[in-house]
Amino acid sequence: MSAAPQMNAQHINAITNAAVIIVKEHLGMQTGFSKPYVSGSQFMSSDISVVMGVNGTLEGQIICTMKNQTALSIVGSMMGGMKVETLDEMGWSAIQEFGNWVAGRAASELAKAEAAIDISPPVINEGRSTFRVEKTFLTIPLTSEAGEVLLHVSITPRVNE
Amino acid sequence: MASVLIVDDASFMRMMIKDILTKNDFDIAGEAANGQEAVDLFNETQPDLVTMDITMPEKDGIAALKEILQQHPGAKVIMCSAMGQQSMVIDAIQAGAKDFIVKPFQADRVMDAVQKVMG
Repeated sequence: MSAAPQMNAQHINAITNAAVIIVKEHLGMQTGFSKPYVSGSQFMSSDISVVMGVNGTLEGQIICTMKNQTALSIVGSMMGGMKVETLDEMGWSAIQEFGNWVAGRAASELAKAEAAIDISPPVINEGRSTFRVEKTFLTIPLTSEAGEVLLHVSITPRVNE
Repeated sequence: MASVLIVDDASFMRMMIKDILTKNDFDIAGEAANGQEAVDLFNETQPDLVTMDITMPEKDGIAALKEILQQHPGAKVIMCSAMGQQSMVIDAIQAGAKDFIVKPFQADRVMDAVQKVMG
């Protein structure tokens, strides 16, 4: 059996930078991150997950997961500093868009590392769930005033079959 | 008053753009949630301007842009995408977009682009 393909450190840095830029510059929140760790081929999500597919010279998934309270704070900040108490249709759309912003920015940062990717429209998963992939997830823990956001990333160079 | 067709699959983004434009005295010609709806609504409403997302289900924004320009060569379309890498911007401008706004954006950036395109 061959070893699982390793994720490139430069790619992981690009995604981390993207998330930090979005939270700090566009949501106006203090933010930081801790050292990424390998979660293996499955992980248990938090309350809300934004799932995005990655296609191009790299392929795989980026899954952004957070507690309900964190999502409410992020959505409130996206809506210009409103207090949001429950996620209505507009709130769900906003949290989906938050994932899109992070992944979109990641695509720009990855382009600097000479990776050309496209992101599929985000899908929301509500409720704690187990996510499984055939490859490996690397988890980037992001801390912010809104709470913790975990970015579970599984991307490897595309293999032409 | 100039009319604008807003195209984005996220209702949150349509609301944000609509809010910026109506505060600046623009009329909203309609809202579309994918590229096909955008083409259909363009034909129906003949807006003065379009804000067009790129990553959308059914038909993406670049395909919709090309289709609109084929039928209406004078159409003014501003792309509005979270995917701001250079290759994406070049593709859009070559396909005939008048400007490219990267999401997330400030209201000023949207109004600068709109005013420049509307001359």
